[in-house]
Amino acid sequence: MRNFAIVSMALLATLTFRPVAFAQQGAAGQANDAKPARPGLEVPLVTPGPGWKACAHCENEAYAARDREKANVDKRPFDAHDISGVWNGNPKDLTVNGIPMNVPAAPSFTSYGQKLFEADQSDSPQWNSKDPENICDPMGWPRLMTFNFGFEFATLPNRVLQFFEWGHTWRDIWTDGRKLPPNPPIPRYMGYAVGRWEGDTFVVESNGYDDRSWIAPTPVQRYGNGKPGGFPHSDEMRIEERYKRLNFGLLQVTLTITDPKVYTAPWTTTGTVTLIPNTEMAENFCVPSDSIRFNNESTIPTVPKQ
Amino acid sequence: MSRVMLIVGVLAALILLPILASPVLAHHGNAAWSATEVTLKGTVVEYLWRNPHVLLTWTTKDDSGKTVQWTGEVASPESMMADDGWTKETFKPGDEIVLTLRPAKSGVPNGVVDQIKRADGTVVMRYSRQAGSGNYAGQLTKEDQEKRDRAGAEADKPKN
Repeated sequence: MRNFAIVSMALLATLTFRPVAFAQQGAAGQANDAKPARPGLEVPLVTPGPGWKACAHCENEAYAARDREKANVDKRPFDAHDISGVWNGNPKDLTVNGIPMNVPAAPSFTSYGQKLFEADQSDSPQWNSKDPENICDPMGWPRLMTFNFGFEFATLPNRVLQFFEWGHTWRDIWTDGRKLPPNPPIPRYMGYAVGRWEGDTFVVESNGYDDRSWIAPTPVQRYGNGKPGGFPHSDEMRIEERYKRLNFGLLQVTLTITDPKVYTAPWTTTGTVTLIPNTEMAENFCVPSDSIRFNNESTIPTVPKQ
Repeated sequence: MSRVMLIVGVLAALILLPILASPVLAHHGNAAWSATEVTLKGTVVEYLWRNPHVLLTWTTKDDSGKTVQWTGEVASPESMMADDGWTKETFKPGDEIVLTLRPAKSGVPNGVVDQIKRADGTVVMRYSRQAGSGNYAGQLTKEDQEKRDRAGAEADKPKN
């Protein structure tokens, strides 16, 4: 109802301001023939101060590439069982944020899955209005793999902690030999996870997920009558991840989702994430009051009337 | 009207699909923005250096001399730090700026900002991941501009 009122106000503003927006159309719309270069080392590197490092997403690709070259990531000796360091980007774009789900490989929905999917669809082609992220509800796992601004592992004697910059949150991956809980009493957005080494591959299995999170948002126009939404999952979703350090600077991740209540087959995504040396994790919260203000001031008013 | 908007959305989304699939654009698709840029001279009212995207509010005068308050969004603070070296002190109220932006199709004084210069011509924002269509702020490639123009022309054709 509140959104409806805001959209109504936006429509009123449309009538008021439309002439302004187009009266001042200037020369900026004229195209340049040359494609401008992406930002490089000419942009000042911003750090918190002496002794502090930039966060992985706080430096542009030129700095990330320079840091990787300085660290000699391709040839540097490494311990395959040490997966520490800040991981972000991929070999083709060091600034890419997270490993996208392999959407073309998404299995068909079950009839139950189809109902969940349709319930998640937006009321607008231009805004993913039901995305839990709009109000900073937890992304949960595995969505946090697709959007995290970098992650880092810390190994303790009985578990591996996986820290994520987005949401400033973490997962406990228990390595003390315990099994997954057969019937977790409280569902978790990040699930219950146990890990083990199989040769040089760190294998993580998890269950016990809260079914309110999405696996990933759907790209606009690709699914369901052109309206964006999200890939749902049930509380019976199980996930297996396999992490393998290919060299000092590359970590391969294979993630397989099995959720027979929602999908007719397992769904596998593989990606390679890059080490960004000489960086450290920052605090990057999704703040509900900021996001709601952003929605009200810069998203909802711009959504055209259907 | 709704049919025209639907067609605009479909055409724009088809062209921008690879960008819309990016996790960077988590909030709304580029179909909400006009394909044509405008340039506005403005005076900064507020600089909101926060997630999920940095917001700038400024006042500008229209052709009749009336003062209008605009809001423009760019990328996240971390992205603006990386791409243009921005910090929490890059703008302050009263700063005179010249913005190139794509206004909202809905007609509200709101846009996605492609480029910002200071009054003396210094470029303070050259690039933004939020700007879309190749991410080249304020300087669209000829190809990108032609694509946008074609999409706009198609959308404006009368439909039976």
